[in-house]
Amino acid sequence: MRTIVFLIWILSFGLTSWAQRISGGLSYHYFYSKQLDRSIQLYNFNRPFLENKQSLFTHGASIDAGYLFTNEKGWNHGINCTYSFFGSEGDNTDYLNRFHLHQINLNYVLRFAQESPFFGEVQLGIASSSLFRRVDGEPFLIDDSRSKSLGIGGNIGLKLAYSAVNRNKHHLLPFVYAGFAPYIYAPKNEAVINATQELYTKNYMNALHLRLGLAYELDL
Amino acid sequence: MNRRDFLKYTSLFSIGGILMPSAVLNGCRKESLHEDIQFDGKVIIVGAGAAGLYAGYLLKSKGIDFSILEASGTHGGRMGKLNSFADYPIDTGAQWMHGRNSIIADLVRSKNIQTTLDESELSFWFNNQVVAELPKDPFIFEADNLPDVSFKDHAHQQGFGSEYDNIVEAIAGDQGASASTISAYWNSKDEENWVSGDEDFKFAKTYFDVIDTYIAQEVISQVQFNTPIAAIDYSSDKIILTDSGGNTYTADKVIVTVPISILKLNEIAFTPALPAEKTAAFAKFGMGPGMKVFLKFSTKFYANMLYGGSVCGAYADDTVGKTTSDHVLLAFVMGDQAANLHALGSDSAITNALLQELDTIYGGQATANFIASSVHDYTAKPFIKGAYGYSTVGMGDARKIAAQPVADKVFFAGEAMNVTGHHQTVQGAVESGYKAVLDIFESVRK
Repeated sequence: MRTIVFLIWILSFGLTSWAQRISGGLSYHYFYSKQLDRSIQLYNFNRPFLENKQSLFTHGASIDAGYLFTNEKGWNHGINCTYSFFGSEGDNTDYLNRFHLHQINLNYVLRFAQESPFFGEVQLGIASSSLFRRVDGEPFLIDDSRSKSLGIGGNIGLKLAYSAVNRNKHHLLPFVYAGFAPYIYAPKNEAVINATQELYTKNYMNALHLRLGLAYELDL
Repeated sequence: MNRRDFLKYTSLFSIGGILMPSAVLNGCRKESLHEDIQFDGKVIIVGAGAAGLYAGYLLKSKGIDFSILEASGTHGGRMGKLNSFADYPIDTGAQWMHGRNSIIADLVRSKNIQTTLDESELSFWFNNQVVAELPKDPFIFEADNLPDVSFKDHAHQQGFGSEYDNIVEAIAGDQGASASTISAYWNSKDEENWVSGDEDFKFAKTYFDVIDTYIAQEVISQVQFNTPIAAIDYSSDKIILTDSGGNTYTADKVIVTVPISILKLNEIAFTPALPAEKTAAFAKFGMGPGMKVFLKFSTKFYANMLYGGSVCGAYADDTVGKTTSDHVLLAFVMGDQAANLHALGSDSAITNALLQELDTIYGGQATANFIASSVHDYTAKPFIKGAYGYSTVGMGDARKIAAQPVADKVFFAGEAMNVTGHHQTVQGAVESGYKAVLDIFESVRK
């Protein structure tokens, strides 16, 4: 009981002593994963019967939402969730093959912002990925189950933003973000892409994320 | 520099820091492996089965000089086609495409090749009856933590009596093995990597036609038939291959795709000798006898798929997925049962033994309706000598060791050399073929 009361007190303190802000954003997302590249490169290497090659996962889009506790001392913190989507396509006569990569990152955010319109934040959290295949526009099924690879790991990132519009409680912020997921355990990626298991890649991947976007924040 | 300037410049550099690395990384990222491979050497592929043909096909696509030396007078290895037996073409070797997630399945999709899902219901010959279900489920060999004992011993340890022996023999036969030699543990470890799916597909034409039309015909001009290789000398820069007639061939890299039975019997002499670890790995493979017998009848009196015969473990209606008015039953005979039939010494004796068993099962209807048979005994084929490779008790890492290249000169492929769970299949052979080419290119890059 004491613990619960203590936690409620801490939470109340947090909510009353810090202002709160919600945020949302859209961004272009450049993606690079050596392991996913290798799987697709292997796919293209060993399928010369396909005239058009499968593209790499490179360009994507992200949306994110966050909740920040802010104060006037410069250090803000909160949580942020980012969803990203990337596609890989090989369009051949009578055979359209697509891989869809979805990523969701759930991060703890630590922001340093003083009077300057520029600020930076560090994001540290969990990265998850799901990879699916579609053939001729339909989900690709193996024994009536959808072909998929799920992954889980960690992520660290740095975001720099500029408060371009700051009216009352409304903020518009162009931002750049660079992140790195050093290890995402995703043992089935090669199986989904190349139909083999650990023939040429390991059971994990890492990934580099570079994002350029626009965020909107609202003081509550 | 004040803090404002610092942040301003940091931001500008950051935007640049996104665009510049993106551009640089994109410039470095290739869509395919070894797009710019520089190799002007010669590759010789020993064997024109699925692995050898695919390796050649891939080398051709990369513009590499290669030739394929085939011991027999035909290509395809353990694939073949019989046109004259029925009113549809028959696959005398591999005939099922296993699963829809494979490189072969991608080829099939991209070429719009017609396939049919084989949904044949399995029946059993059990306690002198044809039954749809057994008192106990005998498919117990894909569980975790199985012991390293044979299928037969594992079944007995799990309480299956001798009345299940022929059923278990049929299950082992599906792996090209005898139930008394295939390892429950190592086979299940192999199966862990199987990602193709469990559905089996048959081709409207034949599996052989798929490989022949889209792969073999691309490289057939580079195949030299009736050239059994007896020796490979890789002691100097150039590799010298010698055939059984004493003719020599020179290469910079060699891909050996012969069946594991040939390697186990040391029918190719390597100079210097292959590492002892590798020859020991070859020895651990099982590759038992194998036979397909097609029996043509005037009417259909048999189940679509039947397990449990003592002469032949598995019978299957061969016309499933075909457009035909003929009635053809396939006797799929593996392991000890194939050895027994092989020992009879003639096609007619083999046919009679099968008809006798079918008469027992189906009340004399086999002999009464029999028209013709076609026997394909892979044990008797001098350059094959069996069905396909399987994991025996005590197998360990033998498959991985066997598949490793030697001295970056001699590379191994073939269904048995597939280390990702797809051995015993055409797609497994194809994967091993492209992996050997990949290994060659990576050795060139070193």
